Amino acid sequence: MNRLALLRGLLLTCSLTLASCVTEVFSSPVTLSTKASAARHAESLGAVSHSYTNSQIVVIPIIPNPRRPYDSLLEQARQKGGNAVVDVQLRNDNWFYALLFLFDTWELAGTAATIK
Amino acid sequence: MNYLFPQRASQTCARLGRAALCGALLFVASCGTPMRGAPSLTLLSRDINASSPSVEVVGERDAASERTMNLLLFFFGQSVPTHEGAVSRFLEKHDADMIVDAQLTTSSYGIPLLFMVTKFEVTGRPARFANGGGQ
Repeated sequence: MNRLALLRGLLLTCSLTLASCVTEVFSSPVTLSTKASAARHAESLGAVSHSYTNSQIVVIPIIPNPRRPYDSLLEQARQKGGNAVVDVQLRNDNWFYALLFLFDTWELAGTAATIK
Repeated sequence: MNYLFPQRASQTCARLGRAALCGALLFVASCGTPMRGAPSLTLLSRDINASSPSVEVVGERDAASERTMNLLLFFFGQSVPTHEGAVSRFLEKHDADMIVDAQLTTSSYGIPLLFMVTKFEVTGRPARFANGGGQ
């Protein structure tokens, strides 16, 4: 009886165990820094920004994120003739209903720049 | 029969009130974080890389990470782990200006709602501005 209970417990634990889940932030390797000196010689080309909302029911995304937000910032900088985005800032808003639905909004803003 | 109507109406109102109260209790709006005054990343680029003439790679590929663990509602480890924290740690370790060929990953594993580990990791090669431009 004890063995059966142990087996049931083990089975339950195994069923609850989440396999390691890994998420890549960038679609391909980038160059980045958090040092203020890294953007010291940047020539500003104007502001760039991007926002997106992730919606989930429990843990299942119901509206997949169509684009990676940082890629959008880099593309906007490239359109302005720059080769980098400096002073990237983040803003996050989220709310959920009855622990079921989650709406997670991210806003990113930065400055398109040229660094030689 | 007419005298029963107000009682039914009041019962219905009470039920509606209870339902509205339950709905209000279940609805949780969390506060958003304001746009931070300090930038999270001071530099982000794909065009500036290890082959750029202004960049000098100063070390081999390495990694740095921050992690947090939560057991039920209790948190252990770095209270607010971020990629930015891992990047800063990486740069301090190598005394570098930037990380080239950088990849940022978020990984989580464990038993949902009971015990979870979340790790923010950066891997890449430390680099400096060759002409001292970033110094």
